[in-house]
Amino acid sequence: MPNLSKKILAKIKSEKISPREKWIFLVKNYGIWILAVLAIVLAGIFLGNLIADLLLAEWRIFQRFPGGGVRFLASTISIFWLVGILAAGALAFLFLRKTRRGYRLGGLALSGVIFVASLVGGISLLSSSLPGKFLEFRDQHFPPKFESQKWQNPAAGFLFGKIIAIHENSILLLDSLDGSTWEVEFAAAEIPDFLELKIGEKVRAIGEKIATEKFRAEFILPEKPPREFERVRKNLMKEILPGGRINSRSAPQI
Amino acid sequence: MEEDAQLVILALADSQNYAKIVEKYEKPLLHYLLRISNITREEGEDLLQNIFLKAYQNLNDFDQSLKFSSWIYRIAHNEVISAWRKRSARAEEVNLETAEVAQILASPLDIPRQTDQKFLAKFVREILAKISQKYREVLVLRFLENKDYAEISDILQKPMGSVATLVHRAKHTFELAAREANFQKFI
Repeated sequence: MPNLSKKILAKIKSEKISPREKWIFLVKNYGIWILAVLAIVLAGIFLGNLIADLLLAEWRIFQRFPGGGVRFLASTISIFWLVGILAAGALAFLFLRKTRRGYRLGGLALSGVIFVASLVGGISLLSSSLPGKFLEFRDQHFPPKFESQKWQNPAAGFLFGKIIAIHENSILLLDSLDGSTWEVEFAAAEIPDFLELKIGEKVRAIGEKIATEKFRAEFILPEKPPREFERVRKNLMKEILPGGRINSRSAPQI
Repeated sequence: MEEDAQLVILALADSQNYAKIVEKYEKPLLHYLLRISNITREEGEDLLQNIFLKAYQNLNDFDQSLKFSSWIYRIAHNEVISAWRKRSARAEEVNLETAEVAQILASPLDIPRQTDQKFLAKFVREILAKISQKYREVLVLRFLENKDYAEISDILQKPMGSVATLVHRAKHTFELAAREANFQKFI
């Protein structure tokens, strides 16, 4: 091929071919990095919200939840967050693979890097008061689904109703959804410290039916799962961050 | 490597200097193209011209932390894959120029040293044609182009661990294909 270089130079000249400008490649390379970082941040936000939901879940009744533990997890873990994490993670994977050196990390290692980065992002998010405000907004506009009917099954150990009377700190009278009035023994029941039992309060009870319209409670819970994100966050951050870098002013004392 | 980087700077300053890069890499690249694909020499030269033009257009994208050879081999690899996808299927035959090469690839088969090198080369050529493109290419890069794993990783844009696995599997596949083809008849 004695003339290959001549042929190529002639073609470069005749077709006025020139090297693409450096800035085009710089924009492309930085653009891919920016997209990758954004995807990781997004995955971190979704993961942070998923962790927040898990932290807010009523783990104390995990095994006693109507329908069992699987049902408990299904009602706690939002499909939206899961799909978001997977989609943002997949995008981050694709973008990182497209970076100049992205091919040097294997698929497993790259997935690991994305997961750790998202986790760090998600936990950093939890250490701020942002998720609390976000959850407040979310609960206000998209309230979590609460299936009160599932709690109206005394034979299976679940009762839901409004307190109409309290006797000697051991018996509650509950007006249930079907209109019947239940006598609930709660002397030995576990009650969250933030729940104040008072007339007019709607509560859930877990325990056993001991006679017609008589129920012995093992747990008395508020109408809806509590959304005390700040309290949970404070406890979590104390465990995760020695010395607690949390801003205590933003956390209400409960 | 520094010399190549210098050549790139010169080519960017004046296209006439690009001839030096073409002259330096045209032979090794043509051999590489012929070794990994089933194209004729003429087709290889056409493909080579496209590769050099593409490389010229993307000179500003050359990553100086890579070897220039790895960068241009990568462009060649991508062009071959692209050409290979466009082509209709045809009986494949790869080009092996030297009996020495055949000896390297056939070494796991314990073929006696006195075996006719011409027959051995023919045999290796047939076996290479039978195995898949990805295995053939990695064998060519490792054993015929004498690239190390880091260079192969940069050319194929795969992690080094995957390259090592690929080389291992390619050798195993080659060996199996050779045994299935009853290599004794070539000896």
